[in-house]
Amino acid sequence: MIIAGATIGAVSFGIQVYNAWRNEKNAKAIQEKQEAYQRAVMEKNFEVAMEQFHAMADARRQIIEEERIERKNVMQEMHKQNLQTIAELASLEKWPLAVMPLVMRDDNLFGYETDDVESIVPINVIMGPCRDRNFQNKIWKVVEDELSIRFAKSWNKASSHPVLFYQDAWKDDKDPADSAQCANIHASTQNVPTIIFSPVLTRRGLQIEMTHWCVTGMDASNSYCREIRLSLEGTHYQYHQNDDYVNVDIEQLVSELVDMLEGIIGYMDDQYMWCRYSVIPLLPQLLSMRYDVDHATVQNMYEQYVAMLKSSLSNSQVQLILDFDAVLSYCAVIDRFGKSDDAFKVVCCQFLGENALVDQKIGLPSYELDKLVTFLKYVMNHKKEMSVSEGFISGLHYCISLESLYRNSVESLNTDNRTNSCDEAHTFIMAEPITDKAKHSLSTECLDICDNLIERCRQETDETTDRRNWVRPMFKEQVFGIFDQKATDILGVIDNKGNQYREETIASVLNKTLSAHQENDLLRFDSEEKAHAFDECYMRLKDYVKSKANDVKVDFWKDSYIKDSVEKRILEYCNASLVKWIDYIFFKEDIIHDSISDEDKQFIESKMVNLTQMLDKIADDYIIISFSPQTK
Amino acid sequence: MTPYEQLGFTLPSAAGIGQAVEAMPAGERVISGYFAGQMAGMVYAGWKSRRTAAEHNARAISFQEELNQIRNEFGDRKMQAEIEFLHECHDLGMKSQREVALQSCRDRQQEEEFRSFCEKSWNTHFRPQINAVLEEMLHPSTDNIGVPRLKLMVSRTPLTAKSMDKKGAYADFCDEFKEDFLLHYNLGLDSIWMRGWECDCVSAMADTMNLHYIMQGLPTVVIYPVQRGDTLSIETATWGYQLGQSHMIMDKTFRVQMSKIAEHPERMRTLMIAAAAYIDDCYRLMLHHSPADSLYKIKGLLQEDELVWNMLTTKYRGLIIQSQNNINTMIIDEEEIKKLDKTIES
Repeated sequence: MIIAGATIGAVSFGIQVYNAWRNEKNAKAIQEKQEAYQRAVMEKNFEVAMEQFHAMADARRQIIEEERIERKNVMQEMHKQNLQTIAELASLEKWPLAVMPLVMRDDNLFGYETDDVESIVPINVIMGPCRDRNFQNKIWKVVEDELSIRFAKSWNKASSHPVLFYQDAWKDDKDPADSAQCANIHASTQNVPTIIFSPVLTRRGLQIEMTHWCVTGMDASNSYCREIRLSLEGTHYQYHQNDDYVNVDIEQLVSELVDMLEGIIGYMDDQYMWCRYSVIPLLPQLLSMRYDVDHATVQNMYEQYVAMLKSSLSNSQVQLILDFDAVLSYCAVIDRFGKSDDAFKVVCCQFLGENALVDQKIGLPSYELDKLVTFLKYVMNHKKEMSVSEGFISGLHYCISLESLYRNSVESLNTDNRTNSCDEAHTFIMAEPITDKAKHSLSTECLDICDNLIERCRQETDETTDRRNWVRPMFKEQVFGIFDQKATDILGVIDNKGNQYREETIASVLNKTLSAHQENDLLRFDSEEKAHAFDECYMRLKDYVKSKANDVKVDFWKDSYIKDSVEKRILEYCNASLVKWIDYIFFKEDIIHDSISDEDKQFIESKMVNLTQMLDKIADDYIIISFSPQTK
Repeated sequence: MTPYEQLGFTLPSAAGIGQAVEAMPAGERVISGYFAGQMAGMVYAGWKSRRTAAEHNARAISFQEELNQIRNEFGDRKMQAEIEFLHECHDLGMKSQREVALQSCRDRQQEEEFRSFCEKSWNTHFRPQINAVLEEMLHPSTDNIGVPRLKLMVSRTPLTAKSMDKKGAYADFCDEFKEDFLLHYNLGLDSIWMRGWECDCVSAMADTMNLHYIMQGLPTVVIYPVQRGDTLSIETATWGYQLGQSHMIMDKTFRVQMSKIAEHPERMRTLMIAAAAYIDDCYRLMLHHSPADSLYKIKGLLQEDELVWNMLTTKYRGLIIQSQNNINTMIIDEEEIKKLDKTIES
């Protein structure tokens, strides 16, 4: 027993010893792991911290380098600017005018408040001296003085065409305004519109050179034109060097030169003001008041101004839509001056033709309708004073895409209730001043347009609100009456014209009815059958016309008895055509409240031949079917 | 002393334990053995646990010390790096400032020099303003095929400004030269700065260098008609489009005895336009490979004076030979050479 007790005791003790040993070992292992982990974390932290530091340092270095480069660039730019300033300051020492470029540029140095309205920058006109003393003193200075009077009167700074005329501003009369001096002035006043005239007397006679910039309304950097020789064709005197001008009429010489120079400056100023500020030209108005300007000159200038208008519109220097009033005023002024309408034709062409405002397929966009109507009204109102010829008006009508106008009218009526605009447009189109030719064209187009319109209306409203359903009750009787009458009238006419005409008409009707266009839809016969049907129709119609059936029944409206025959097809076609006609008349008389004029009626009648023939034929067929030929 | 004794217990002696055990009943003896072993184990475990905790604690303290030391070392290292970086930044900043200051000085010196150049070498000598030249460089005048036109300048020498009113005489000379040749024969040379001098040219070379310094962006020919002893020397300076100093060429194009000029007063002007036309043709042929129009336009005039024509054809022959020798560098169309050859031999 003792041994057993001792053994149990020893085992119990051994277990506890073992546990204690394991625990100690385990705790050590855990501590080591924890230490290793802490050490790793710390090293990682150190690594991250160093990386961050290096990144920050690199960024800082980069910033320092960038700052250095930037500073260097700024210095280089400053240096360049300084050199340029030195060159400019040095240039100022030799500035040829009494007015410094600073003043010419009108630099606002003291920050004076200006109103927001863009003020007009006037053209600067500088007269360079001539080295020939006699010419300079006796002619050129007088020319300068006379010009300054004229410019003070009509072209002063308060006028619509301000010109700054630099009288006596050239400092040294011995230093001419040659190309080098002009280049010097240009370099300092590149954006100031300037014209410089420089007379030169050589052994070959007088030459006047013109240099200008910024006056064409084009890009300022490309507008520098130098050493342009002016034509002296208008002057009658042969200038030569060292002339003392004793036995000559100096006043006459001066007047010639002044007229020429004023014309040139005026034209350039008009061009500048037009292209840059859309201000209408002044020179034609001034010339209109003068009695001594010959026709050829007026004509030449007129052509120039029309060309100027055209180029300004095509270069988009003037926006036709935005400057509409200005453009029309330009036309009014110029066309009155030239006693023609070329300027208006240019505008019409631009507005309605080449301008892509009117797409031949799509037509005039509806938002332009009011503008078009305004344009037409304007033309109407100014017709007399603008001496607009009928040729122009008819040209205008051709320009207007009628289809689009009508289509848009209808669309507007249906959507916006803009009855007034549509009415006005239509009234204008259909009323005077339309020439016969234009009317004819209009009528033709109207018919086609109506077809298209009706087709569209039908497509749009067929299922829900079929227009025919409410048109017919209103007009059915009236229309039928008209057709009845017309059929009779036309048949009478045909009869009176003799056989040949009659046969031709019938053949024409048949051809149209059975034309290739209709073939596939209406006639599904083989060629033999078709030929047979054609012949039969022809014969029947011929007989019928001959018999002058005045008692034609127009009760073709109800369902046809004719089944699967050529006549059935033709009936369908006629039925459709009739509906179009009904709608056309409805459109004309009810929607746009316009009666059909006599000429139109006549034209429509002629157009109705086809239809009436068809009606007759159908009626005939009806009779034929109802009462067989044998019985008849 | 055992931990048991440390706690104030006295270990029983073996004999005592034996006696106690002997006195027990058999069942109790077994249980007592178990309890005895259990107690001894607990005593041992307690002792072991305390020892382990103490060791652990000591180890933890030393580990923290170790970590602390590492942290301090890292802090020192980082601080050192930051200090070095600060120094580096400072050095860079100083270097940059030094550079800027130096550059500023150099620029200012250059500006002063340029101001002096403008005032003394340019404004007093030449009529075109520098900013006008620079402006022209941005939008040079070109002919209808887009080639920048060669600027023609005629210098003011005693031969081109002959009267008392030198300024007027020089202006007349230039106006008439332009009228009689450039405009009359519709030559492609640009005369914008033809009358370019304010006063007499003292040194052709100096004037050329001064002009070229500003105008090197614009192809130019400068003509100096100079009398050297008994000889008229038509000297020319020319340069192309931004080709630098090395492409500025000064040439004594024609040299004629003054007596031969006295025979034909017009001869000097003819020689001058011949020189201008020749250089214009060289410029067009070599730089732009466009036809030698000037010669064809002015041929009739030049053939009127045999001396001038002979001298000029010699020049063109030289040009043809030169172009044939350096076929790789100067590409002149074969057809053009033939046409040129035919013109000068006619």
